[in-house]
Amino acid sequence: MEESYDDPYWESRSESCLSCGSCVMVCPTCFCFDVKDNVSLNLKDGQRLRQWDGCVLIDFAKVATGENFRHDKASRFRHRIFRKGKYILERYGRFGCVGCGRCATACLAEIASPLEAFNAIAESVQAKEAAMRIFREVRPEIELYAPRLAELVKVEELTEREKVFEFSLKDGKALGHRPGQFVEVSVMGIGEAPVSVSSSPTRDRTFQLAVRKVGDVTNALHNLKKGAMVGIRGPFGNGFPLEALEGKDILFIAGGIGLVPMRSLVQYVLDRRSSFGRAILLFGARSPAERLFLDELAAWSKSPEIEFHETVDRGDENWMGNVGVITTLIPKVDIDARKTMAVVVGPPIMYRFVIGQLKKRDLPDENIILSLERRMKCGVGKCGHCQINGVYVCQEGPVFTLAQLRNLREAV
Amino acid sequence: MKPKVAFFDFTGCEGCQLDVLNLDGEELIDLLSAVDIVNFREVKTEREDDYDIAFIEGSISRESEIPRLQKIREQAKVLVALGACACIGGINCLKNHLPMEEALKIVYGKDAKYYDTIPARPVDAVVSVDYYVRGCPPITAELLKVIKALLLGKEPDIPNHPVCVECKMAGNVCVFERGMTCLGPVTRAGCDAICVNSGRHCWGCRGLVDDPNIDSEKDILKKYGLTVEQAVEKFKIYNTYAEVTK
Repeated sequence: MEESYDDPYWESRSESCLSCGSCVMVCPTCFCFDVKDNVSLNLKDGQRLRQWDGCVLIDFAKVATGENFRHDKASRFRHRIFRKGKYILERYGRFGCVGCGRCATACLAEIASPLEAFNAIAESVQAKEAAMRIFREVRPEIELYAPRLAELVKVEELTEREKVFEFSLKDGKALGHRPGQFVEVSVMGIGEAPVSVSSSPTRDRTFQLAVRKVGDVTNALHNLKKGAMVGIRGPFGNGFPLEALEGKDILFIAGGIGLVPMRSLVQYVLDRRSSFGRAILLFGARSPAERLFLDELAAWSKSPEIEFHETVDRGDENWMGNVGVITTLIPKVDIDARKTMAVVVGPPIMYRFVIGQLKKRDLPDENIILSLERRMKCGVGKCGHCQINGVYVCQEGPVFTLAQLRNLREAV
Repeated sequence: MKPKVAFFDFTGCEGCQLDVLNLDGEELIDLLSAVDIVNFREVKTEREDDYDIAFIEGSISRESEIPRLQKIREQAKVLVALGACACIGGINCLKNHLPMEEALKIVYGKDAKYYDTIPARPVDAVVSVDYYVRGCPPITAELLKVIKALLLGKEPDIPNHPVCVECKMAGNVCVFERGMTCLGPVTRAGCDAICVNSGRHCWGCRGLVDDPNIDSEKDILKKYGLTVEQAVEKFKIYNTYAEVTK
């Protein structure tokens, strides 16, 4: 199947796909779901409900910013067949298709049968063995979906669209996160959304989330006042590979709100300064008004501990610094490709261009680390929304080396 | 302060407003504890021109309805289109296939000269609409969902996938298997496939999904015995205003 990924078959076969979801709704092994808050009319109580969802439906992989990671029906169609015949097989050692024929019967366009695609995976016995080796236990022990309560202890406005929120868990414990991990934040009655932690675990027992106002949950967060309670699940995801970074020169490349998760790592590195080589931070914002964490940017630009360069896409009358996209900063820094690890966080569009520049500087794929955005609805490897091919971004990610992503099409 | 709600009817059968009254007793009481209804001619005679949320029922089919609607838009903080006519133009748009003079003559006969009419159109063809409560008539659960969403200031979660999803969840045998044809595969879900559950087929009253595969749907209708013209007619019933029938 792997070889068939770019085959014109997916495009032509899916032309008549209605994205109607009949195939996934009748499938006995499909389990993807969405999570919705259903409030009573008194607006005080309500329920949080799981609700069937399916990977062939148009909005399945769409995030609040509007990005849809599988926007065309061909890629959704292929994803479903790959899940049945490859991704689930590789992950759990069993086929995702039991051969019952329900989907083929339900499909009005008569295209849903996985049978034809499966004929291509004759070497399934080997694939199954390989699958048993990479299979990992992904279930956390505690109740999967019950949030812990956290109190909002401080709010600070960063820009027109972003605020930073400081939370303290009500049980008094520290969050216990690694830089680069994320949490699921609940505003009761509105819903739950994944947000990266933007403070380092080396700092206070509290933790900080910097949030752009972009969807229902984030809008509601922005309306909260000090003392408000939210629900927190997590931390989830792998976080940045701290062990692999130790002793290396680190080139941080943050675009826009990519600075939010990056700040957690920058703080961590600065707090454990002697464990790392040079620290170089490149930061690009769209305009001077959209720069985040102004005090820290100012402190970093003066600090001997970190080399700091920044740019804005468009300047204004008061801006004296660099103007241009973030890639223009990369040729200006002096790096030793053998001992430099580049950590890249930014909007999806940025990655391809930054990778191109880093490859020009001869950085090996293993030394390029990227944190990916996806729709991480459940955070615990269940709901299916964040999947890139067979990988759950909320579990194996969101941080990957470029070497890992080379085999993961659809990723960047 | 409870938000003040007003209902206004334009060209339509007023069945959608009637349907609001079909909320069960407890829901109606809960609703009235959340909002003040200040203008609702099917229910009360007193009227107030000071309101926050305006529900618009019906499509726009007369010149004089345009300034009336614009005035409501100016007053209302939130404007909600209620029902198929308001949301997608609905059945009224069937007359758009005729010359307007002919439509007038068919309906009013010798009195046609006393009336004016323009091609029918949905509310958002005239003013901006904040929320949509779809269907002919809307299902009350969705009406409540939209009201709660606007009280909470969040986007109501209205599906952008076809009715087939809910129809399969309801455990129905596919309409096509039962020897009828259906618009479910391109129609926006949210109704829990109510018509198919009752032994009928989907008429498309909730409008199309954002990216409907019309060509495929037409092929399927043909495969199940309809001519091209019959397939187009099927779309026209509710979705004349959408480009599909042009």
